[in-house]
Amino acid sequence: MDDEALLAGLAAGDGEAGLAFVRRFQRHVFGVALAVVGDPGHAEDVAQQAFERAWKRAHSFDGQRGSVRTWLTTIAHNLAIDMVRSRKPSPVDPTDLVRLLGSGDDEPERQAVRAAATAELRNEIRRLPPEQGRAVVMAGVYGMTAQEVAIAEGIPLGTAKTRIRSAMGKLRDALQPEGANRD
Amino acid sequence: MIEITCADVRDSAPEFALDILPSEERSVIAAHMLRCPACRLEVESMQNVGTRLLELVPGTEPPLGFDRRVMARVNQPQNPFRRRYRMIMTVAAAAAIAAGATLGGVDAGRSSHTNRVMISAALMQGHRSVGEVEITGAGSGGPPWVTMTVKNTGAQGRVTCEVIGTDGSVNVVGHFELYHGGGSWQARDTAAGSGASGVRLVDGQGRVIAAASFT
Repeated sequence: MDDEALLAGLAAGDGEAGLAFVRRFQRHVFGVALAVVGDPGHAEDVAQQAFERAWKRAHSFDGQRGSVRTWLTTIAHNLAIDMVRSRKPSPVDPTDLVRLLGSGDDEPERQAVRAAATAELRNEIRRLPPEQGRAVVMAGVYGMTAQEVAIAEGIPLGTAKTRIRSAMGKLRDALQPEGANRD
Repeated sequence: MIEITCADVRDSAPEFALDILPSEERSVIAAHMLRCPACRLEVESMQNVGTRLLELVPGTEPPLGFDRRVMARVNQPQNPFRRRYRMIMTVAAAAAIAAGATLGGVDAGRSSHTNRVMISAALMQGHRSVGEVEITGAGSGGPPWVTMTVKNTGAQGRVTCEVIGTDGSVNVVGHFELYHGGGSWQARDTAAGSGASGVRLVDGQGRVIAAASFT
């Protein structure tokens, strides 16, 4: 069954479809939660909440706006960021950033298309000046504000904002499909 | 109301898309986006990048039994929507009594199973969900109920709940108080006509704090 059919099954109370849905995405959802909150116990809480929220909001999923995976990932990421922001902030471990910007060969990919897209993104991030790559990952994955990036990197706030904006702009331009109509 | 230019929005679009702006700035940009399709597209293009960044995160196998614990959670015997609805009604009734607000007849004793949820949606601040809104038709007839729960909005004090009709009309459902950025309340949409296309929460300066779309 495709992702949308599984989501529909989860929403309709189909136990088999629901279990298949969770098993299909649990690795990614838990991975996102763990990367952001850092603690496996809290990460499981976040991941469970993400699936519960997906079940409650399945009727609002719009396939034209993105994939089920993207939608679910966003739910999990938002919940994880909420949890982190409610706690005392702790600095990001630089080795985590290196791992994220690295090859990523530790994750077996289910589909060649997604693997290629992720590889493309990693390549584009590696092409950025390192300081911009760090800034965009701090902000985009860990939800750090420009102020927090500035403190972590020991730079002025304006510099942090510029790094985030520059990186995002370059990634947007580089990852845009050829001939895409942006109007 | 604070106005910003499209150039300002373009500068802030990456931070807005990544949901790392202060709430006041986020509200101003969200309000601008409601009436500027070009800026909305700009932000959406940045949001696409932000979404893809999450693909960098390696997958991690959750603890054993995670999938069954999730299913146990979603298969609880009592419908969590119905349970939260009763809790919202109780909280709203208590808040109404304490604040002396006119909520158009909150009935804390209403049986939830007589209410039919017509439509519901997440309340969004940009890309981030800050709550939920339901429009419920009462089994006994009368105007529909609008039930809203928000948290972590970054806003405080008196706010206004507006229902946007499918004909573009704007109906003020009520004025409520946010405490520590959150709150729950319920009121009748006495001007409900052709139907609702969305709901928005507006602060005292006319800025849109959060919005939900039913379309």
